[in-house]
Amino acid sequence: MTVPWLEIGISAALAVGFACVGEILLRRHSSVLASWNQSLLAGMGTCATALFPLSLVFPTGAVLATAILILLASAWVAMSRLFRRSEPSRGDSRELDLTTRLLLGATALVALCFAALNFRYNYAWDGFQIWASKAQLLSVRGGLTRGWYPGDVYELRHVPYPPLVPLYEALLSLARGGFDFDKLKPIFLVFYISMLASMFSALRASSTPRLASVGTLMLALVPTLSTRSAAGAYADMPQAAMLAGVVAACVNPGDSALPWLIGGLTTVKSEGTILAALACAGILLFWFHESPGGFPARVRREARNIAVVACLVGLRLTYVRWSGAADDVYGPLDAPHLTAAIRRIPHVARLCLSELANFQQWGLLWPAFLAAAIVLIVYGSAREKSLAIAVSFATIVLAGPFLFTTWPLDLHVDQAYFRLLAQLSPAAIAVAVLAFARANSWTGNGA
Amino acid sequence: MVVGASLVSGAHAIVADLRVAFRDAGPSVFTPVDRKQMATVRAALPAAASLLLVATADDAWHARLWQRALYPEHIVIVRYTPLRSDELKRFRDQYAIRYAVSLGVAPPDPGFRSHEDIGSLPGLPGRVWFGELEP
Repeated sequence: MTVPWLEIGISAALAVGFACVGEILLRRHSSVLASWNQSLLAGMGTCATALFPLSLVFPTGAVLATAILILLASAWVAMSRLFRRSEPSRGDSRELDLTTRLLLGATALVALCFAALNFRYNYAWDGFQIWASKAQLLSVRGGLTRGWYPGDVYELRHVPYPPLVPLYEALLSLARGGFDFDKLKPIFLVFYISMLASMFSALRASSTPRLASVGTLMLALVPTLSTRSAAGAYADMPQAAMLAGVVAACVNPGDSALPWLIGGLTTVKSEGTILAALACAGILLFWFHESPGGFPARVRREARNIAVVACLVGLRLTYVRWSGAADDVYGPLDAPHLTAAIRRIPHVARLCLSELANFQQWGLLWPAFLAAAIVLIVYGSAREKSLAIAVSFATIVLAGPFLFTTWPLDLHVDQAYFRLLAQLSPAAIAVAVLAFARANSWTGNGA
Repeated sequence: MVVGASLVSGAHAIVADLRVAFRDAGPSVFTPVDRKQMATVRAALPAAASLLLVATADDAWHARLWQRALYPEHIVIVRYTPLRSDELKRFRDQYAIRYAVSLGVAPPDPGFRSHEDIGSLPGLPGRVWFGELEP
């Protein structure tokens, strides 16, 4: 195995830079890993969103401009920390019990296996043909353009794909002095660690350290997030990392990172826009559940956060419109396609249910999620109810595009639905663990 | 039980993938065979010359591998069979293309004046042809 130490160092330094951008956006002086992790995700998402307007202003220098912004943000945060004592740690200083330590040790072992696979594996199809290729174009051209490789027509559909993973790869290439397909993998280790940190933080906010570490281990063990396409440089695991961040912010009341992370969902994969819409719907539902009479006032009170999400999502949609690329994989929403789509519903439902029950892929995660969602919808708090409803709805909504596919239907569902579910799995695991914690509270078992 | 099932499915996937990764994966997305063939083509091409690459859809991975490997020094126009002569002519005129690479078990002929067989696709029965096109 060749471990690219230089590129690991650069990826870590860039992660710190992204986190510094996040610190400024969130007006934070983080002192614990969970808070730094949220700053990292917020900074990443914002930099990737800003790449589009920067590309309009500096068509050949947008990546360089992003690097300069990251450097300035890092310098600002370093200076402000020199002149201001950091806030006392809000971390849990209690000793962890032996079981929790063993579970966290097992999670670290799985992370080590992911690292080994990540550095040993070559690219899988999308990792090379889409994401690393987009990074190469970004490196060569210096910014987002409306073109793909000269002469390509079918692959033009990749142009509007969101730029976070390619941007990170292009920044890594800029810092190391040249683009090399074989040196981009370290960035995926950053996403993987961030995903696990977010998951632990999300579960720790509402359950015991032991349950939080069980949930984190379960997430680490999801094959699509720790092997195969994740090690082959696909963007599904980074999308799951961003969603894990959103879940962590959702379960921490009043978390200021939430709107930035919801916007960040749109910067990783195209379906991130659907996830962002579902997250917004879940939050609106929570506000309504919490206080039906106070709903309008709550919406007014959250105007600033709503504006942040609207701005980030709006920039994403503008980029898609600007790129002007058509996606021939899905048919238009006209009468013949709608009729065909309605006829496909039972078949797509059967294929998707069969995937949810695929033991080799998921163990018993989705049956457990289903049971847990019912528990939370019936007995959970307003926050838990909303989360369970939003994730349940997401498993259905994410299957919707298959109704309009122009690919062979069975093949498309077989190749794509498990990856969509993998992106959703941090939220599904959170629902399962929260339901278990609630059930334990009835029996008085602290677990 | 749910955690146990996760352990079983996760551990099974990790062990299977570690086996594949440490038995089959190489240090680069470009195999030594790819690199040698690409170096042969690079050495024969004039600076900044564009290249036509034709292949069957079965060789799409390798076609795009070549395209990315030579970019941005050389623009590689990839076309798959069935080839359309009007389209090839349009690209040849637009990008001033004089050379082509052809991939496949029976590599398609985009109108070679002459060509050489520079080896097989790594691990596959397909061949790689490189040559100059008819003017």
